[in-house]
Amino acid sequence: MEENLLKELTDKFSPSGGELSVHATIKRELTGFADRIDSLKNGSLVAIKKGFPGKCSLMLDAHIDEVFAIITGITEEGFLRFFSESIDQKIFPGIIVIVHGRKPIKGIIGIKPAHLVTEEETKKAIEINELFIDCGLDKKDIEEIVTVGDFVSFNSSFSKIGNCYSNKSFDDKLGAYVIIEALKKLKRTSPLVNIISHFSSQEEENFYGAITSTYALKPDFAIAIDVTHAVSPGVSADEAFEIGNGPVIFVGPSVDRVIVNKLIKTAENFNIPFSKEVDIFSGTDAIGIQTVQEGVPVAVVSIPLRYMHTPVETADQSDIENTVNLLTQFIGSIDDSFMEELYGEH
Amino acid sequence: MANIELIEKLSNAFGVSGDEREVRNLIRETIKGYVEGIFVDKIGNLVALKGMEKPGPKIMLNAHMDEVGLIVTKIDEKGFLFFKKIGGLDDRVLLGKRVIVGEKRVKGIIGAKAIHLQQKDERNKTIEYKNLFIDIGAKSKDESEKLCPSGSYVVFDTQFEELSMGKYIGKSFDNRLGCAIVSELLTEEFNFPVIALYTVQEEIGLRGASVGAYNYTPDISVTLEGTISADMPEIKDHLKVSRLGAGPVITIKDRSVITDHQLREKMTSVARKQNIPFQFKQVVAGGTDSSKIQLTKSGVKVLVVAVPARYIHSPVSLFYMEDYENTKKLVREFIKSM
Repeated sequence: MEENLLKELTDKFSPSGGELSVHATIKRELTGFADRIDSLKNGSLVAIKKGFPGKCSLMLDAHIDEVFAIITGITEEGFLRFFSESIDQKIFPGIIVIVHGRKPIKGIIGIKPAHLVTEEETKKAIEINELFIDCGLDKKDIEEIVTVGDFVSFNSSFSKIGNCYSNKSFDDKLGAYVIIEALKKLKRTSPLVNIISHFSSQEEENFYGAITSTYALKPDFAIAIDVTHAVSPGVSADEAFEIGNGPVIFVGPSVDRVIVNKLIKTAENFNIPFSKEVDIFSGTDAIGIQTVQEGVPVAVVSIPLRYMHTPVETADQSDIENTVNLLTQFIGSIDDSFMEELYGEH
Repeated sequence: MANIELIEKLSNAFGVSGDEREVRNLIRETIKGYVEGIFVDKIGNLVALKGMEKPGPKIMLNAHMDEVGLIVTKIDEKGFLFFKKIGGLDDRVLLGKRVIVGEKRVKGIIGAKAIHLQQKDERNKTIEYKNLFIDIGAKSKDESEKLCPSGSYVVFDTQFEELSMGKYIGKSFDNRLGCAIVSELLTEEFNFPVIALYTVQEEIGLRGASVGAYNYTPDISVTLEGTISADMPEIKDHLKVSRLGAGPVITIKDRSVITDHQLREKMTSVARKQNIPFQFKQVVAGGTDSSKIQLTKSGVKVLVVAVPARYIHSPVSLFYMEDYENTKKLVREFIKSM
């Protein structure tokens, strides 16, 4: 595991629309492992590794945007009001956040102490529009730094928890990490197809980055690498996956049967543990990519993740490594017969 | 100047009610060069004596060492830890927080179901602590039991730091701020005998203070606290308890005690004379060790003075260093004026 890289990717704040903050890290990491690296006008980053003969292109996609809150007001006392659609309001009380104003400043989201709370009150979650951020500054001082519309991120808190890693924004910088590490492993190889590594913007905003990039990059087929829910108390195996059991391959009508079968076969051939997630839609960039122009066959590989969209998203080390392994082996085993089958389908 | 390094160490120290050892050892190391005697009583209170041979009234400065936290009750087959709360903690501050568990100081997370998987009614309903759990990344019950057996204490994983312009954030300001002030005052010389009492188990019902003044009983007791400052949005003006930046909070009455009228007037007149700002605690809320110390033997006159702190009894609270300095100064000048 490249712990430092995973930490750097996830510590950086890249809200939807503000993905440039992680471009430099990815560019640095992929220098020498890709033939071209470009930032796109939609906020995505693309790295292309040429294949031989490279008649077709595979897009590997992971989104680099993360969930965020946004400042909606400043009170007379200098407290900040905020809003978020993608974060559970119940996890805000008692956390440290960073307000990305003219400069980043820390703030805390406090609630009145238990001494003053009635039994009745404790049963009801505090609504997001009653919460506030305290930066310890009065109105005059905070207004020099923060304005309405500024973004708010969780404070980064990367750590190793047992066999797992934990931080904010593992959704989906874990996917970005996996693609980077897979490309490194492929350094001395020359795959049959060109590999378009796409680090997409605005996945959390209806896949805007993936849709527009796919139009520009014209991949022949694509695999989205994202996260899926992992089992924990209150989240059963009916709706989630055990950690430590390897990557999860999506199966269903919105993904391509040939790619999925090849992924499954690769996992079996190389003894990589995996699970299958059977559903209609995956809720990933693959949804956006599939229907660009004349259409793109897609697949989805996911890493089980606990506590998604919180400051403490948690994933198992072996699942991350096995996902890197699966992608690497999949690319290494792309051959003419697979391409024929893929094209024969369409 | 405040000993910020000491406040930082005390705030970061692990010390839930019933497991105050780390805090006690830290205080003992801090004060040992400034007092003549230090001992630990039978239930864990730390007592330090200074200038006991001097004439005049014996003054006790006291603060509780414990903080609110959690305790592991059971471990499930997959290695998740379940817990009970120690002290007054609102269930609503627990979700999605980082914690430190047990003697081995294992890092953990209080898990939170992803927003995507929640039913609509779950979004607005508090998850009771009974349905929360700690994830230490273990794969089995065995693995967890070796690292964090049931009975392990749990604190929030929060580091002390300066937030902005003299405002500091961290955990356990209730009551490591009190511990810090008592310890800082012990480095100074007074004309009276001073007994310092650092108590255990305040947060579960003032247990330590019930016996802490028995061996060395003072004439006057001053309890130092980090107390509620609810000067925040959504709270009515008359319910704010105290305000950040308005100086030490002097208690007239809380849920447990009425402080001594004459002593309190003396303290406020010292404050006025020395131009030290102060405020009276506004709401009859919370209880303090002073109520137990007051009952020792034939009785002790008591006062309570506190540093206002926002969001106490949560993973991260906030105080203003100027309030801390003024609280320390007020108590120092008060003792000197005796």
